[in-house]
Formats: sequence, structure tokens, C-alpha cells
Amino acid sequence: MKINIKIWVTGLLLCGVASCTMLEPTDDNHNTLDRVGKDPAFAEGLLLRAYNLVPTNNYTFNDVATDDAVSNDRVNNYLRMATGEWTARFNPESMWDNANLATMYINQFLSVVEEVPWKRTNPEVAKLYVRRYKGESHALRAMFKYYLLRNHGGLDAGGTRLGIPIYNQFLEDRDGFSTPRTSFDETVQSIYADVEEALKYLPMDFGNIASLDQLQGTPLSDVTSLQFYNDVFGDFSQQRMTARHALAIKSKAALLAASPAFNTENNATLWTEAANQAARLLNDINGVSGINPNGHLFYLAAQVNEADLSAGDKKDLTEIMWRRPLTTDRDRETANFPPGLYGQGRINPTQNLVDAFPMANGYPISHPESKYDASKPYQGRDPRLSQYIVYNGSRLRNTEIKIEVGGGDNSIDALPTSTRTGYYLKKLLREDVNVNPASASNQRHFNTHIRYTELFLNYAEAANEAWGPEGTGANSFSARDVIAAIRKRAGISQPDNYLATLQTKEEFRDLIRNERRLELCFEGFRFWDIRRWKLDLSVPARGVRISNGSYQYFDVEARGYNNDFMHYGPIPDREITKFQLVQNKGWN
Amino acid sequence: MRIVIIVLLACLGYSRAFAQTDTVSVNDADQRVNVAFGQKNKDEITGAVSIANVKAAVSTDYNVGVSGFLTGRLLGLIGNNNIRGLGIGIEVADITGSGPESGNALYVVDGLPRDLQGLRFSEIESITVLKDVNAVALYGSAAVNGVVLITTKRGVQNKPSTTVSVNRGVLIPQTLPKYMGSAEYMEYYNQARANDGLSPQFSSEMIENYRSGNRYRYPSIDFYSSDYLNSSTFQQDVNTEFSGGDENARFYTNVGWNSRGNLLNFGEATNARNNVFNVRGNIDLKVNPWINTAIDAAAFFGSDKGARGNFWSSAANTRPHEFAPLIPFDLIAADDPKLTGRKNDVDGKYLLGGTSAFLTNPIADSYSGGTSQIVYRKFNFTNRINFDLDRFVKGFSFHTNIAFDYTAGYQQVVANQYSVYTPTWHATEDRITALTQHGLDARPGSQDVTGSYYRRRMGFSGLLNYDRLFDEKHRVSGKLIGYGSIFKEGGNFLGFGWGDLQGVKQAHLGLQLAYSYDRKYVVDFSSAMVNSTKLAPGNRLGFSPTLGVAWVASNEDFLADHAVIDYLKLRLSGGVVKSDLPIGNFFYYDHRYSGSTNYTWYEGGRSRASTVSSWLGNMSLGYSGRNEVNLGLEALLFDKSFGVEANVFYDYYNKLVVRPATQFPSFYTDFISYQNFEADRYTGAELGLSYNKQIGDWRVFAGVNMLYITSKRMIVDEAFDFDYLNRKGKPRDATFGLEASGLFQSQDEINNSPIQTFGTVRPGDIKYKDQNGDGIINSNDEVYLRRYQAPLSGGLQLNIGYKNFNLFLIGEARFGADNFRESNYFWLDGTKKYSEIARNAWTPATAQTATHPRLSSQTNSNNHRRSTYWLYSDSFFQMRKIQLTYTFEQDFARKLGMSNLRAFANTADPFQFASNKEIRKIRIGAEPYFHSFSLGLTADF
Repeated sequence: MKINIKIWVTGLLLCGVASCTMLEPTDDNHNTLDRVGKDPAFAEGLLLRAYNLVPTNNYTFNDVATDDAVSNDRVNNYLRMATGEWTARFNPESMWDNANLATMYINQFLSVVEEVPWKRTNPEVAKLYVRRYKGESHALRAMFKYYLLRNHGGLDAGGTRLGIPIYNQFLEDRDGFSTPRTSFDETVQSIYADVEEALKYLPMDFGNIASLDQLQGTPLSDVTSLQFYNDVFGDFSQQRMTARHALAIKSKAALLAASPAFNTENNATLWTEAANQAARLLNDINGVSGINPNGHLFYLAAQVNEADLSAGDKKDLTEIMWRRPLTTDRDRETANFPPGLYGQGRINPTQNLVDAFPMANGYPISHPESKYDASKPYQGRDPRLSQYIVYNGSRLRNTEIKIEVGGGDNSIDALPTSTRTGYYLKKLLREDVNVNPASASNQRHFNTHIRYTELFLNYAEAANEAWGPEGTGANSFSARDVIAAIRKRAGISQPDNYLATLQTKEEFRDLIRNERRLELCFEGFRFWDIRRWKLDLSVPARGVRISNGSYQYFDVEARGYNNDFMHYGPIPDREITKFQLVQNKGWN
Repeated sequence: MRIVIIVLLACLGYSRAFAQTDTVSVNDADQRVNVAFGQKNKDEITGAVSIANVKAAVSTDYNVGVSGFLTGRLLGLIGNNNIRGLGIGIEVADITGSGPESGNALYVVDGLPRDLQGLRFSEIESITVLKDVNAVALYGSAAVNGVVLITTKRGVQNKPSTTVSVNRGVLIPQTLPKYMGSAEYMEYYNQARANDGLSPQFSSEMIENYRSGNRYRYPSIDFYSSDYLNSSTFQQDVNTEFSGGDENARFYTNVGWNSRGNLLNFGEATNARNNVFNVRGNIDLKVNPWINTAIDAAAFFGSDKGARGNFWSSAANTRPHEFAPLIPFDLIAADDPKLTGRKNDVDGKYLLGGTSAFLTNPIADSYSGGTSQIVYRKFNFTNRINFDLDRFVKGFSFHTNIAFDYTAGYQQVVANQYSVYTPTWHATEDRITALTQHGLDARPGSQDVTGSYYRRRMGFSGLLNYDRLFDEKHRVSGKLIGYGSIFKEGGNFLGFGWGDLQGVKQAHLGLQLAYSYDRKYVVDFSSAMVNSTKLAPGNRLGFSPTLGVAWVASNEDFLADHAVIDYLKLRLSGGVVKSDLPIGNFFYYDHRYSGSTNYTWYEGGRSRASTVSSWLGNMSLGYSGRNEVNLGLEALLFDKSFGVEANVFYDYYNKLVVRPATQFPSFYTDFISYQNFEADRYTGAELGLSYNKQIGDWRVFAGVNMLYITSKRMIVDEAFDFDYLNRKGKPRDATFGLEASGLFQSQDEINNSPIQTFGTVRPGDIKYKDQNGDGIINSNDEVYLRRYQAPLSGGLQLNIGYKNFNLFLIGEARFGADNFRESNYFWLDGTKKYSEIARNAWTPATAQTATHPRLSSQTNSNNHRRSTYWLYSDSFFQMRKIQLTYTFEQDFARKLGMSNLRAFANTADPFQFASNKEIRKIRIGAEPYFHSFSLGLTADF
């Protein structure tokens, strides 16, 4: 019986020991706001939270909600949106939550940034950190405001142009929560103000400098130690947001403001402003001559290797203004390779987009001079077609991709993962990736935030509107110069006779828009471009069914957009109910 | 109060519909009943308590596990884990680890919270369901929704006994889903494309080939055919009990083995078995005349072995024509290099088939994918010591209970890789000209332990008990209880990884003071001072007081010799149970920040965690509460042959914890605190009737129990544009959705109707009602559609004995819940597999008779959302069990060296009555529901 007594005594002891922890939670070492004020890494985490929410961190491929592509993923939210489900309740293009959340973190970070002991041992360096972080914060906030404005700005029922609520402070109470929307112009000015604020603190580029003299005439000319400068603003900060990036956001905002959707009175000075904002950045790379000859193939092995900041000349590809670091993976190829190559064939470019590629001689396929052969539709085309799109008979990974009916797994509609349009995606994919599970291999990729090609096209669009095809304003190059260079780079045979035939602003506008569509396809531009331009949103996505050499074109998927109001995105419905925000016209 | 009366009346209304029946739970008034931390005479119980008649069931109703036994049997218990349907959303069993039968009830086995996994019915002595706050208060926070109290058997002094039971049965699928073959699928898929305005995908020539061509060239996989499934499988069970002992030591042991097969009839799956082995030993020892102790140990070993791959999921999703699972050698040229160079085949006759999109499939998995075995083990240990202090201080005793449970499991997998082949067929002949190989064949020859998990509980309680009868009239009793338990689980099992740092910690003091006068008037104050580790210091203590009073009217003189009433008791109880279980997580009182996703820059050379606010701290966060009043009546009438038990109850769950998101912008979630915000009200009534009579050689028992429960949300965090959208005022288990008004018959009709914003609408799509008349159908047009918990439920038992024969039946009924036809079996669009439902789909030709919206090869969000179109009544009466038992004459049994030799035949879930029986029976994506039929023998030695 002694044993039982022992068990009992041991048990009671266990109870005794246990009881103190029974009444309190186990200390899980969690952090509270206090740590933000003490631990620089933790405090910087608030800003990094905003960085993690940057919409361009990943390609969204919202192009499948446009006339450029469809998805073969039947439950893709963009597909649902494009086929008529877009409402103020269901909005895959909503920036509201993420961008405003990022703004909250930025504001909270700004409210503590001065107090954080960024460098305990060196107050001077600590002050430099404060400057850099303030600059990054304002630059980021400008960017989030830009994306909010693009996706949620619009017209109220009376046609007044509305922006978004501006939250420049961390919200604490109901007064803040129910901040009304500002006017469109106020939002634009608020973006500009954040950019100007960022310029006070940031260099144009991060990177080590050899001499303090290089800081002459910059906001950082008062820095007294090369070492300190390089510690804070040097190489280690690369790929964080700089003054140059902030200026790019400003130029994008200026273009949005000048665009037909918001420039309702067709104010020409807005176009001038947009052109000059873009030119300011392009002048730094010597204008048209600075265009990267392989910029349109920035995702291929040679360019990716050249871009690597940690090897070779340690300089980025000149095409890139801002991008994410290199990653080694095969996600994009797994999603988009044709099923015969063990991919899921997700993004299917449309016939609409294929038709937008001119002939190699520069003429649109509908032009009498084009020499387009409807029975051999892929012959003699702009080289970008075969670089960006897999069509019937294309080779991918040394395999002929047969999309015609009866061609096996890659045939149109053969499998749930086969194409629905007759085309597969090729742009942004690397052929040296193998997604066959039996012998898979990865390659390096990067995601872009801003490419110079976009800025060139922004300039061309604005300059053409402001000054016509040949006008340069105060700058040294015209819209025609830019477009000529881009088409030449693409491999349009020279001389570019078609280009030479276009003389009016209107003719040129169409060409610029078409070049923009081709150059920036699948990078998430088309969806908002056709809205900025107030184009017809309901053009159905078309495809081709090739059978025994005959090409049958058909509507793959309707584009269920209402041209009355869907050029502007909605404010989330629930926020209207809760805080009486004004909704954009037509949405309810 | 008015509501209570109305509910009572409503309940009586319902009861008439049933009439003439009863529960097992109305027993003898002198019966000692297991209640919280002890036993009481039945007439001294002031709370609402249901008692299972386990002893009677042993000889008439063979059960392997406990959980199956409970269903439909006890007044106020829905299924086996839900008491009165209260506390929806507070899944106590899930939170406290008394799953896997998760539900709102707390299971207490031998004094501490435990799960029922592996608990055998044969080792159970008693089951009591404690329903109202007065009955459960002593169990603290976790008892918020009630307690199922289970006690295991013990040896009886000088009564050695050995019982052996053997049982073997067949399991037959209740029904199998019906899917289309390839040819028919293709026809209907073409119809779907036509509906979308697209050209046909499959030519008629191709469809004809799939209808009548070579089955390897034109496959039509039928997962539910005899190619892959047996028509039944088996289950067997062996159970032995030994018990006995003398004055100083008593023992009870139980050893059991249960084995179950599976339906698949090919490859490795043929060998699939789920084996469970149990052993228990309960020992009672007398230490000295005033101390005795109990030491219980139980162990449980399980092994669920089978093929890899999820056959049932594939059966629901893989279209019939996608690939031929097997490619016979005789259709391939003998010198084909892929054939001669193969590293794997099936029976030396077939290669495995597949495509680039089907690199693996569960059929090939079973042939060549290796094996999977889930191993789980459980160990329970309990020690109780009882000190009878009566000799020192009259009426006092002291009891301790310490328990330790440990469950561990893991999955061991032999993962073989295999290649599949896509054949290229000769243009005109049915022979294969070439093979494309996908993947590679590899047998690693090793076992992977892919996941392991553990569940661990330590619990203890100390009880100082006082119970004394003065002057044969005044019974005074009291209990002071110290109680604690910690439950933790963790691991990574079947892809679910979790770590449970905090565990579930329950600690409280319980105090019960009770007085009864002359067995007529009873007062019981039961309370708990609970501690919560989830609340801020200073807020951690909560007091749960409850009071119950009872009047045993039949012990009054004026009823003493009443002709009809043999026993009559009226009860009233009420109080509050404070609980922290609705508080989901810890440290809600701190403004918590944590490191989150890293952000990387400088080409990956720099990377740092982002900092995320988890929530804003709320120092004043407090307990949620269950506030209840329960009024009850128990009676025995007509020579105790007729029993009645009735309860009406009103429950108000308040201070339920949510983040009141509608008070804040949608992007502000990270910075919202958790608050005691919402409240729900439940009202209900239950009625149990029983009839128990012996007439000559006939023994008759009939019982029925009924529960009516309805709930109403009183305070809700919500913001809607229209009143009808408010969840407030609707049941807690309400589902909202659109109101369908048939199918669109023409484009004209669509053009003249409100705009529906769920994608392109074509004739044959569902038309919805515009509730707010704004000309647009969107989520603002959703209305209250259904509740998913049956408001009216009950059980029916019938036991008829004649001489050596006994027939037992039990059934379960639930009425008033509705469900949606919403699995892939009913929602046919895109490239889903088509069930037979597709035949009833709308086409212009069948517009008048169609019972299903048009098919679509694209996503149809318009049709495939919750609306009245898909709603069906889930009301049912399910016969749970029928058992015929024959007890052999004792003389005969003795000749065999046995006693109580019984043979029985029983069937589980043999049939059901339901207006939507076929939908209820079908099971998509998982092993079918079974009927079981079994034969068994049980004998004492």
C-alpha cells in the first residue's frame, strides 16, 4: 500500500508545481508596442509590413480580366470579375484593404521613427537612418495613394471627380474612420506632397559612393562622413524605395490625372505635366539613347544574369528602375507552361492580343500593305509575337506545341489545363525551367516594380497629347522618337515605313496605345489602361480553333463590363454603409 | 416568462403528435445517480439530468463503442455530442480535446475531461448527461454547454465474472453516387458548350467510339463499378471482460479487438485494415478501514493500413474519359522499347495509364504507389484515493483524483514512385503504336514517418465532502472542490501542423451546499470560482453561482397514496456559468505585435521580418456567460409503469467575444481589439415519456424523447443596408442566401428582369427575387433561408421481450433543419465530372420539365450559390438499430460451462424515412455510408 501513498504524494507535489502555471498563461515571449520603441529591427518591421503590401511585389495577371487573356482556372477571381461578377462587394481589383492597411503601418512607423534608437552607438548615423526611413515612408505612402486612386477614384453621380480619403495620421477613432473622400485633385496633390517630402530625405539611388562630393546639390549634401553615408544609403539599401522611384510614382500619377477618364475637361497642361515628369527621369538615362536593347526580354536568362546585383558589374539591368530581388523557382512556369510540358496552362492570350501584333514590316495585319496571310497567320509577324505568345506550331523547350484539334494534351480544350483560346503564355517564362515532376529544375526570376519601357511609353503618350507626334516641349525627344526606338528594338524591319505614314496626333495615339499593349502585356497594365482611355470594356475575348488547317475564330468569353460606369472601380460597399463614403457613379 | 410558457405549450403540442412513449431516464426514485463529483439519490437532484440505462442495454443492445450508443437515446442529447443544441459555435469538445467526437458537450470520464476515442461500451458502468447550469457548475468553464459524465466498470466483491463477446458483420453501402460514363458525359458536355454558345468539344464519331469502342482506347472509368469495389466489407469484434476480488482488492479488466476492412478490391487496397486493440485494468484496493484507492489504466492501439492515394476524392472528380488506368500488354507491340524496358507493371499484364495531367491517380497508387499506415496509441492512467473521515469528523470524507492521458499517432508511408504511360494508337486498328512515358519508377525501400501528433492531458481534483442526515429528516451536504486540468496537443499530422504552447488550462474551485428536508424539499447551491489564463491579471477570476430547488410532491401526505401518481417532482434551477472558452486566444489583453513575413532586398542579401499588429489589447475583456433558468417535472404514474420527464429552459449566452469589425474600417482589422460583444438567446423544451411493464411472459419497454430548441441572436456585430439582412433576431444557426424564382426561360425574360450580378446570365439559369426593388440582384438581396440545426429532435426506443426472445429498436428523428444540394454532385459546371443529375438539366427542349439549371462548360457563379433553389428539407427518422437477442436456457449454457449465453443478430442504420432520403444517403468524395448487419454471441463464464 506504500506504493499508493507514494503515488498520491507525488501527485500532490505535481499538483503543487503545476498550480502556479495553471493559473497563468505560459509566457510565449510575445511582443508589444513597447518593443517598437526599443528594438530598431522590430521598429523597421512596421515599414517592412508596408513593403510587403506593395501591389507590384508579384504579378497579379489581372490581364485575364481584359481582352488580352483568359484564364483556364475556372474559379479564378479575375475570370469571375470579367464575366459579370464585378460589384462593390466582389472586387478582386480592390486596393482598399491592403493599401490603406499599409498606410496605417507607415503612419504608425512615422509616429515613432524619431524615437527609435536606430544606432545607439552613433547618434549621427541614427539621424541618417531617421532621414532614410522618413523618405522611404513618404515614397511608399505616395505609391499606395496612387494605386488607391487608380483603382477607386471616380466620378460621383453628379460627375464630380473624386479621389480617396487621405489618411496621413494613424487612425484612432470614429472621426478618423469616417474621413470623407477628397476630391481627385486633392488626392493627386497629396501624392505629390508625399513625393516632395520623400525627395527631402532620399538620394536618387542607393549605393556606395566614393566621395562626399557626389552629394553636392542633393538633399544629403550636409552628410559629413562617407562611411556613415555608405552605411545608411549605400549598397545594402538597394532595392528599397528611392527618390527616383518616388518620382516615377509621381509621373504615373500625373499620367493618370491627364488621362481621359479623369481629365474630363481635356486640360492640355495636365498632359504637359505628365510628359515632363516622365522626361525628368528619362533625361537621366540620356533619353531615347538610353533604351535597353533587350529591355523587352528582361525576363530571359541573359538579362536576368546581367541584372544580378551580387555578381559581375554589380549593376542592375538598365531596363529596370525598381524590381524585387532574384528568386530561384519555377512557380510561374508550373502555372503557365502547356499541359504537355506538365504545366497548368493558366493564362491563355486571346486572338485580340495576337491580332494587335503588327507584321514584321511594321504594318498592322489589317493594313493593305501588311502582306498578312490569313492561312498562315503567324508568318512574318512582329518578332514579339513569338517571344511573348505560344501559338500552334511554336516550339517551347524544344517541343512543338500542337494546339490544333487532335494535337494531344496541348490541344485547345483537350484537358481542363489546356488552353481555351488556342494560345499559351510565353512572356515572363524561362524555357530553361523544367516543371516535369520527374526531373524538375528551377531558374532565377525577378518581379518588376517599374521598367523604363513603361516610362518611355508614359512619355510618348503624354508628349503626343501635349505637343503632337513630333513635339518635344522643353525636352530633347518626341513621341515619335520613343515609338520608333521601341519598334526598332522589337525587330520591326527598318525603315519603319508604317510609322512614317502616321502624322496626326490621333493616328499616333492609336499606335502608342497599341505599342503599350504589346510591350507591357501580362504585366497588369491593360486592365487600367483601357479604363484610363475610356475604351470599350465589353469587347469579348476571342480565340481560334485550328482544325485541318482551317482557322475558326470564336468568342471564348464575354467581357461582362458595363461601359456606363465600369471605367472606375467601386468603393467597398460595406465602407459606404459604415462610414457614409460617397460611392462612384453606377456602383451599388 | 411568457416566452417560456409559449414554448412549453408548443412543446406539448409537439408531444401530442408523438404520444405514447418514454425515456429510459425515468427510473426509480431511490436510484443512486452519478452526478458531478459524486452520487445522489435521484429525488435529491435539483438540476436537469438524463441517465442512460446501461445495464439494460448490455443484454439487449450490443454496442462496440460508446459514441454510437448515445445517439437518440437520452432526453436532451442531440446525436452523441450536443446537449440541447445550446452554445452553437462553442465547440467544447473541440477546444478541450474531448474530441474527436467534437461537439458542444464536455465528456468527463472517471472524473476528468477525456475523449471517447477507443472507449468501449462494454467497459462502461454508467452514463449521465448533466444539462442545466445547476448540474454542471462544479465542472467550471468547460462545462458551459453541459457535461456527459461517463463512469467505467469496477470489480464486485466476491462476484467473479468473465464475459466474452464475439461479433462479425458485413457493411453494405447504403447507396453509391451515380456518374455518367464517357459517351454520355461527352454528349452532355457538348450540351453545356452549346449552352455557352460554343461549338461541340466532342464529335459524334468520337462519342460513338467511347460508347462502343475498345475500352482501353476509349476509356470510361467507373470508380463505383465492380472493377474497383466489392459490394460489401466486414467488421469484427472480440471482447473479454474479467472481474472479481475480495474485501481488500477488486479488479476489472477489459480486452477488446476490433477489425474493419474496406471496399476497394484491387492492388494494395485489398489488404486495407483498420485494427484497434484495447485493454483496461481497473483495480480497487483497501488500504485500511478508512482509506481505499483505485488505480485504473487503459491502453488503446490502432493501426489503419491501406494504399496511398485518395480513391474517393478521385471518384468524385476524375472524369471518366481522361485516361485508361491500365494498358494491356497484348495491345502493345511485344518489342516496344518502353514495354520491354519497363520497371513496373500490374500482374505482368498491364502498364499503368495516365497523361501529363494525370501523373498519378489513386488506382495506380493502389497498384504501385506503396502503402500508408496510420498508427495511433493511447494510454490513460487514473488514481483515486478516498479517505472516509467519518470516524474523525462525522459526515466528512476526502477524495483525490489524479489522471494522466497520452495519445500519440503517426503515419508511416512507403512511397513508391511509378511512371504512367500515354498510348499512341494506330490510326485504324485498336493497337498501340507507341508509348509516352511520364515520371519514373522508384522504390526507395524505406518508410517515411510523415507526421506525428500527440495529445496529452493531466488532471487532478481534490474533494472535501460532507454529507449527513440529522433526525432522519434533515440532510445537509456540501462539497469543496479544487480542480485543474491541462490539455495540450501538437505535431504535424496529415499535413496539419500545429503547436499548442498554451494548451487548454482549466482550474477552479467548486462549492456545493445542499439541504433537503424529509425528501420533500431540496435546495442545492452549486458554484465555481473559475480562473482564466486568457484574461488580464485582475480579471482572471469569475464566479459562477447556480441555485436549484426541488419539491418531491409525492412524498407529501396528500399524495402519499394517490391512485395514479406514484412519484412527482418539480424542479426549478438557474444561475450563471462563466466560461472563457469563447475567448479564442491568449493575451487579448496585450497590444500584441509579432514578427511576420520577411521582406527581402539587396538581391536577397538583406532580409528582415515585418512587424504586424495582431490585435489591440483589451484590458477589460471578461468572461462570456451562460445564464439559464430551467423548470422541470418528473413523474411516475400508474404503478410506476408510466414515466414522464419534462423541462423548459431559457438560456442567454452573453458577452460572447468577437472583434466588432463593423465599427471599424475594413482595413483596420489588425488594430481591433477583442471585445465581449455578442449575445444569443436559446429557448427550448424537452419531454420524455416511457412505458415499462411486464405482463406474463411479455416484457415491454417503450420510450420516446423529444427536444425543441430555437435560438435568436440578440446582439450582433453587423452593418447592413437593409433590415432583412440583419442577423440579429434570427437563429444562431441561420444561413442567408438568395430567393430563387425558377429558371429563366428566355432571353426576353432575362432582359425584362432585374440585373443579376453573378456572371453572364442565359436562359436556363436561376432567376432571383429582387428583395429591395433596386433592379439589381446582389448580396443585398439575400434573405434568411434556413437553420442547420434541427429545432425538433428526438429518439424512439422499443424493447419487447417474450420468454427467451428480445427485440430492441432505437431510432433517431430530427425535424426542421434544411440543407443545400451544393456538392460537385449537384453543381455541374466547368470541367467537373457529371453525375446523373446532368440528365435533368435545362435545355430549350426540356424547359418545362427540367429540375436542374442549364449545364455550363464555364464557371457558373449565378447558379452555384446558396439560394432557395438548392434548399432541401433535412428532416428524417433514421432507424439506428434493430437487434434480436435469444438467451439460451441456463441449463443448456451450464452444460457448456457458461451462463447468460446469448446469441444476437443486429443491424445498424437499416433504413430511414425522409423526404430527401436519396440525397441524405449519398456520400460524395468519401467512403459511402453503410448499413451493417451482424451476428454475435456473448456469454459469461
